[in-house]
Amino acid sequence: MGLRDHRYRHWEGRHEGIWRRRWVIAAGGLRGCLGNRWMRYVITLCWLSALAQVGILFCVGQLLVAESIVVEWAANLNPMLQTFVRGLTTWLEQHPEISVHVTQDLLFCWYASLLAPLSLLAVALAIPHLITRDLSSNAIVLYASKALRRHDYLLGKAGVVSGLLGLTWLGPVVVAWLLGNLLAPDWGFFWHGRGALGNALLAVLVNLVVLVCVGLGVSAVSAREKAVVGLYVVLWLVGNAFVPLGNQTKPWLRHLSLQYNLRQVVLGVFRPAQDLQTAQDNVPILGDVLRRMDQRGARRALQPQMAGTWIALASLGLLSVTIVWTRTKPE
Amino acid sequence: MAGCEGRGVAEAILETQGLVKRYGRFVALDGLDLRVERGAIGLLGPNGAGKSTLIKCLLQLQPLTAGSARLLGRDIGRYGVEIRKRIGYTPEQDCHIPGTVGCEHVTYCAQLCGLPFQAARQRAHEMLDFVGMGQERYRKVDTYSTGMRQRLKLAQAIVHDPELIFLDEPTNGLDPRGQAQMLELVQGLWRVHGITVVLSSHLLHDVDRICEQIILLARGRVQVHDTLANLKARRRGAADVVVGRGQGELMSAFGRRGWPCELLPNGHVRVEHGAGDLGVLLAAMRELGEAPLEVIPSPNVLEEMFVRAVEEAHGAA
Repeated sequence: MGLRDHRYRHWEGRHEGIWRRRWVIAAGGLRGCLGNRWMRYVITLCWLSALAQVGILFCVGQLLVAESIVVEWAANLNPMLQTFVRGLTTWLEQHPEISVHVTQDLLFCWYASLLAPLSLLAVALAIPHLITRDLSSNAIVLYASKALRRHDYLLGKAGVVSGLLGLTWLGPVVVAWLLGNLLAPDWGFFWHGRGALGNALLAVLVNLVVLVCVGLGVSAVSAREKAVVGLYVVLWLVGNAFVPLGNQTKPWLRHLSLQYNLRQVVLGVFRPAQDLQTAQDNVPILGDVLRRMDQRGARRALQPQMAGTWIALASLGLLSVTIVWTRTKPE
Repeated sequence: MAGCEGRGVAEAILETQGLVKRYGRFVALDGLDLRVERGAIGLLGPNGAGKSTLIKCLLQLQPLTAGSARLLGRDIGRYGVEIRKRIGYTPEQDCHIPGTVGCEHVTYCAQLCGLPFQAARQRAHEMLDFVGMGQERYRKVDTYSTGMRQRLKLAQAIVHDPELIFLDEPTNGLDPRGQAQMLELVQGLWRVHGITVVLSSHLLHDVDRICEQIILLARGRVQVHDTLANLKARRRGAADVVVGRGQGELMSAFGRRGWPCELLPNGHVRVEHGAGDLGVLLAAMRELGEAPLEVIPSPNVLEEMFVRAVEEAHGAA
């Protein structure tokens, strides 16, 4: 028994700064999240999708070069495909900056819509680790009694969500872009694809802010893990049920869906409809296909509804911030 | 004074001026004016006296309604974070970082106070040794017994080597042996290591055993603030006389000598004889022909004041 073993020593070292302490909270939370097996599966899936995206970028890059093996293979496969590829190649030769930008923009827009639900799932798994468990174990008092303010604690917790989205969304996007362009036939792809990367980063950033607010807000609602996960799933999945309802009746109902709003942000950033129009104007063979698509109204779905989206997201953010701020008072 | 290695003792470590805390219409702290120097300080008072509220206000866990406070010579409103780097706190209620094992928990708390990871880990193990945690440190905190949790709370509160530590009911839920061990540790913090201790408790024994200064709170006000030695000196001229029967005659005889006295609920006669020792009282009793069963010199003033505070609190309720 060490009770009489008074080996207490004074500590004379230098204290670390506030950002380091915020990082400690973020890293601790992230470690807790990664301890969940399902979380690791989701992250693995995101990185596998990044590899798939690299493959797609490689193939598309090869399609834009006349002598590439992919073009030869496509030509052998189908004469119509050959014509299509020739059209793309001509487009690249004439307007490399537009063709690479448009194709990568469209591909990363599609990729964002793939990663968004996976990131929403990751946040669902992380929610109990954010504030809920601190509420149930009274850890908030411990944090508040240390050299931290409430917003330091919250920034640390926001770092947990940011770290997760870095692993499920930002990381895969950046790596896919880098490797995809590294495998492209021309170094110019890096330069011409910079717009697509910028759009992808902006889309991730906006979604990140929204998911940080929503994640922390839902996590702070209750000290019971099942309750907060249930609430988040309801917010996510039941919200999605309003989308078809809104399509048929009142369009504003669609904005009750978190995923729909996040999708609108992605569409607003990438503007795929505009990219398709550019492609239609520049590649004659694509023009026919895209014009038919336009006549069927398929492209209307790619037009972002930004006004309603901003109102919905701002309301959700405000509500979340209010919940978090009131629920994380130490007493 | 013990426990002052390298740390100034004369300066006020805690000062409050007109400190008020209200919860709606309920006044928890009613214009507290305090000036406390380094040492082992007992914060006594019945439940609801405002002890925990005072600590929470000083640590800024609760906002003040009015007044001001200084800790370690600095204003808590302006330098809250800086002050908390030098302060430890063990809350009354159970609290821990979820999902951690004991040493992770203490390391994490040290890092939150600004210690680099290596130093934090090393000190976490040292503090866990200090509070007497053995292999339990590698167990999940969620599985700890009450005693272990109390020790863990103490370890996390001192891991960053604070100058001042607030202990809110640290012996709650402990068995007598655990209580004695915890008090021994807390006593050592001031006497051996020079860390000023503010021990909040409603247990007189705890405070009496380790504290040198006493602050008695009741209904959010300071009833008494003095050193324990001074408080005990106040009662040197009094004694409790235990007799089998004839308390009434004894009281009349004391009255004739001009000694105020009263009959206590336990049948003892409390008499204020005013002398520095019991010689006068014993001589008077010999004259009266009374043979007391027991004479208790300087009856426990702390207990008496505490009882009075409880009665006042109940009276107010």
